[in-house]
Amino acid sequence: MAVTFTDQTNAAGSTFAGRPATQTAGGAPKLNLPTNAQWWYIWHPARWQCIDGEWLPVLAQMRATPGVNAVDKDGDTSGAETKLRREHWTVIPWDIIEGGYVIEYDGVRGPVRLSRWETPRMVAGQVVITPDEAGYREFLRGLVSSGVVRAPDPYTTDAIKERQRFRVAENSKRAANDPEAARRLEADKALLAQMDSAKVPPAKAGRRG
Amino acid sequence: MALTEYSTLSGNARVAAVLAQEIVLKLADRASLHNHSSLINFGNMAGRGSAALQVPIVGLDGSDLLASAADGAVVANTTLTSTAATLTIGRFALRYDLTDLGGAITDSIGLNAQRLAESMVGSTVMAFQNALCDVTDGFTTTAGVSGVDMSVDDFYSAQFALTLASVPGPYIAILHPRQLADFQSSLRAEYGATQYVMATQDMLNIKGQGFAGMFNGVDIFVSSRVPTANAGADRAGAMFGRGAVGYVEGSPFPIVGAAGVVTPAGTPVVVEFDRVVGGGTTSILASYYLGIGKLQDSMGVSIITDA
Repeated sequence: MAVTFTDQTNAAGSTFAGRPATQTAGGAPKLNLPTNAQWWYIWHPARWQCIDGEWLPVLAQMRATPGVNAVDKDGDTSGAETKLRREHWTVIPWDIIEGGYVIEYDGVRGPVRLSRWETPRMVAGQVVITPDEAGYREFLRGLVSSGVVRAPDPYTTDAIKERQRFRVAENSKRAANDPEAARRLEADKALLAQMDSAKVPPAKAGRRG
Repeated sequence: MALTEYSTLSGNARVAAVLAQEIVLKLADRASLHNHSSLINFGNMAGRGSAALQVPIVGLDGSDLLASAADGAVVANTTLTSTAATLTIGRFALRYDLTDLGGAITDSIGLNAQRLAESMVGSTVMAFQNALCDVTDGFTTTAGVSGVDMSVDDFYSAQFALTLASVPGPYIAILHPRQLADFQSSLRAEYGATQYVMATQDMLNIKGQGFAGMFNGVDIFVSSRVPTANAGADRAGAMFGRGAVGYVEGSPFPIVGAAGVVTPAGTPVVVEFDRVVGGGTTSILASYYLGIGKLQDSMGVSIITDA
């Protein structure tokens, strides 16, 4: 190998190109939560709740975890979707709202997928997730008003109200001698009153309702 | 003459710290309902010709009733009611790569490739638990109120819903620790008959992980794997009867060409060792094949209460 001797005293010697430092992927903060598969919100006509005087759907999740709920070995959800539709569930696509409702974070053990209404933060060395309940309810309202989720059948809301009436009746029997039952009775009565006067988010004009 | 103190020897004849000979387990939820009788185990898929198992659900033995018929009347045909649930197996896996320097050469406490292989059993049953909780949060029927702590009333609501659907007992409930704590808090304040029931007292006792007690004849299990609901505001536990959920597993035996395989007793997990000679590294890889899902939705209730 040839050796090249350079003149160390030559002030006009080699120059080196530099670039602004960037944080490498290894040093970037990663979320210390278990990794999870892709998921979609799903809705069933029987799943409703009354929150602050409004009937809103209770969504569940279809997760693309191979081996779980008829998702195949490659994470293909077509079998799971067929099964869900046969059972009257509706799969809600990601792009139902601008930007989608699933946010993917880099996790310590792989991607972590949360809803856009869940904000992970580090507090005292622990990951905590702050839910944006108002934002999520707005999303639920939008699903109903846009017709993606059909308004509840009166049979469904009546069944939920009946369950609530039963709770009120049960706690009424015990309230005189049981302070805890009396406390719960007040809350249950208030919720029943809300249910009786609750409204369904109105359908937007020009949309299917 | 100067004393021969610790500091004199430190770094030469004394080291900064030595390892205790007992490994302390990192805090984690290690309770799983794998093999629990409340779940129907459809066995092993090995050698059955498919990755999917179809479970026939047929209306026999009292589902269709005889109707009264007039003497001499020709009775109309009744079509047998049937449906099916499909369990499709998928792979769950975990791998540790351990260098010789990090493992065999410097190990003094038994933290080596064999110990990591043993650890795979716990990791497998917890993967099962995670999958189970991802199934039971999606029952059509729900109990509880979003944003409100779980109470005895919610427990009764779930129990009554199953009773009204004629779901045979015994029932099992899987609750998140938050839900269990709220339920216990509610129980603690109970007056009347409930406070004198032995199970009420028992529910308040501290126990190990997993089984938390029995209330009204319902076995209660606690699991941190219970997922969130309503965008993280709530947790979605469940109560269900035997037959609501089923699972099938797969064990790829015999494994042809595998040099080192460990099959821990009582589990379908396969742990293999893979040697990368160039890197002086041993890989410990666990593979578990599981298919789990709802068999009959009406046999379960999701309990959704404040997180």
